[in-house]
Amino acid sequence: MENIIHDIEKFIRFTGFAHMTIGHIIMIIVGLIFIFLAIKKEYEPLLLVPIGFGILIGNMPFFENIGLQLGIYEEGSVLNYLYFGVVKGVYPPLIFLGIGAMTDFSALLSNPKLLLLGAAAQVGIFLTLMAALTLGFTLPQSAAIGIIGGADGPTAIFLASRLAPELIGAIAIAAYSYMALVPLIQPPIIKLLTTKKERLIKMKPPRSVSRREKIIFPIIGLLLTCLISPGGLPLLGMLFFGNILKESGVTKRLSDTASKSLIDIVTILLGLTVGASTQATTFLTPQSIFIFILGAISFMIATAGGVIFAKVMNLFLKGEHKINPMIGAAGVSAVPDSARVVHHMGLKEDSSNYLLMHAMAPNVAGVIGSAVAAGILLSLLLGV
Amino acid sequence: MLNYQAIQDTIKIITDTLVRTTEQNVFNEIKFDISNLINSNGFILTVIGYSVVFLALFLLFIAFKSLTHVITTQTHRKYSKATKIPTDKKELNVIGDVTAAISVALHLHISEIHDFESTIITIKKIQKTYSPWSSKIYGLRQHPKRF
Repeated sequence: MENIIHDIEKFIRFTGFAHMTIGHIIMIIVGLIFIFLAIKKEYEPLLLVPIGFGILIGNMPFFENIGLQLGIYEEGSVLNYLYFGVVKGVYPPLIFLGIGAMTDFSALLSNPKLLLLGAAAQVGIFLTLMAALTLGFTLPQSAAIGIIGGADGPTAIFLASRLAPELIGAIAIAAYSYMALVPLIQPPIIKLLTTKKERLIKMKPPRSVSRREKIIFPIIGLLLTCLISPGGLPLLGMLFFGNILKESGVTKRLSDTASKSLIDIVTILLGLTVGASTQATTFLTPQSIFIFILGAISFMIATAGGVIFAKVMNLFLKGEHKINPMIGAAGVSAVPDSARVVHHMGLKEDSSNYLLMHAMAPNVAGVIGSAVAAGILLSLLLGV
Repeated sequence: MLNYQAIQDTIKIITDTLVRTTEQNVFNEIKFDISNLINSNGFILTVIGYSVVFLALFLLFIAFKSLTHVITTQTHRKYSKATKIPTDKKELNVIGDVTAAISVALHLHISEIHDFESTIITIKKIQKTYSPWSSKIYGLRQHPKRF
C-alpha cells in the first residue's frame, strides 16, 4: 500500500501541475493571444502560429534539471538541439537566402533614391540603443535591443545571438510581435506626421527594369555593402545570393527551393524554438519588460524617421518626382507588411492611388539597411 | 496511510513559488542614468553606426543611378544604330505599366490565335486514297452473317 502511495506522490511531483507558477500561466496566455491574433486577425500567421505554439510548448512546467532533458535550455534535449540554430545564428542567414530568392528589387532599381528612405528609418535602432544605455543595459545588450527597431526578426536574432545571447528570447519575441502588429502601430504615426494633401500625392509609375540591371544588382549590392560593413556578411551575402539565384534565370530549381521549401522549414524551426525559448523561469524578468517597451519605442521612431525623411526629400524634388511621404514608413524592413499598410492607407485616401510598388522600394532597402546596421554594430562591439 | 507530509510539502512549494512571483518588483533592478550613455561611448557609436548605414545606402544609390544611366545610353546607342532613326533617350524608358499592358495584350492575342487554329484543324477535310485494309466495311465490328 505504501508503495502505491509513494508512486502516486511521485507521479504528482512529476506532473506539470506541481511546477506551475503564475509565470507559466502568464506565458501560456501570451501564447494563446499570439495564436488568436494569427488565426482570427491574420497578423503574420506564418510567424505567430509557430511562435505562439512554441510559447505553449516552452511553458509546459516540468521537473527541471533532473536529467529528463526536456526543456529548451537543458543540454541534450531535442528542443535544445533545434535551438542551436537560433543561438549560433544559423537560421537568420537561411531566412535571408529565402527572402533574397523571393524579392523583386525592380521597384528599387527603377527609383534608386528610395534607398535613402531605408537608411533613414534605421534611426530607430540607434536612438533606442542610447535609450537602453541610459536604462542601465550594457552596450552590447543595448545594441541588440535597438535592432528591434529594424523590424527585421532574423536580423534581431542574428545580432542578439552574437551580442547578448541572454536576451535573445525577449528580443526575438519583441521583434516578431511588433512586425505582426505593423497594421496597428504604423497608421496612427503616419497620419500624425502627414497632411491630407501629402497622402494624396500620386507618384510616377516605376519604369521597367532590364534583366541585366537585375542581375548586376546583387553583385554590386554585395560588394558595396559588405566592403563597408563586413559584419553583415552572413545576412547580406545570403540575401544577395538568393536574389541572384532568382534573377539569373538559369537556377530556377535552386531559387524555388530557397524561396519555398527551405524558407518554410527554417521558419517553422525558428518560430517554434524562439517561442519555446520564452520559458517563464528564464524569460519573465524585469529586463524582458523593458525590452518590450524599448522595442515598441524603437519601432515607432523608425516609422517616424522614414516619414519625416521622405518629407525632407520632397523639399528638393519637383513635380512628378515628388514622393508620397507615407512610403517612408515602409523603410522599416517588415517586408511586405509595412508596404501593404502604406498601400491600403493610400487607397483609403484615393482609391486610384496604388502605392504598393513604390512602398516596396524603401521596404527592401530597409532589409539591406538593417542588415548593414547589424553588421556595423557587430564590427564595432565585437572588435573592441 | 496517505503520506500527507509529502502532499503538504508539494502544496507548500507551489504556494511559495506563487507568492515569490507576485512579490517580485519588476522595476527595482533598472535605473535611469544618463552617465551610462557618456561613459560607454554610446553616443559616438550611434553617430558612427548611423553614418555608416547612410553611407552604404547612399553609395548603392549612386551606383544604381549611374548604372541606369550607362545602360540607357548603351541601349539608346544600339537602338539608334539599328533603326537609324534619331530618338530621344526618354522614349526608351518604358514604364512598368506599359510593359504589363503589352504583355497582357500579346498573351491574349496569342491565346486567340491558338483557338482559331484549332477550329481550322477540326473542320479541315483530309483526302485519303481508299484501301480495303483500313476500310470500316470489313472491320471487326461487323457481325458475321449466318447462312
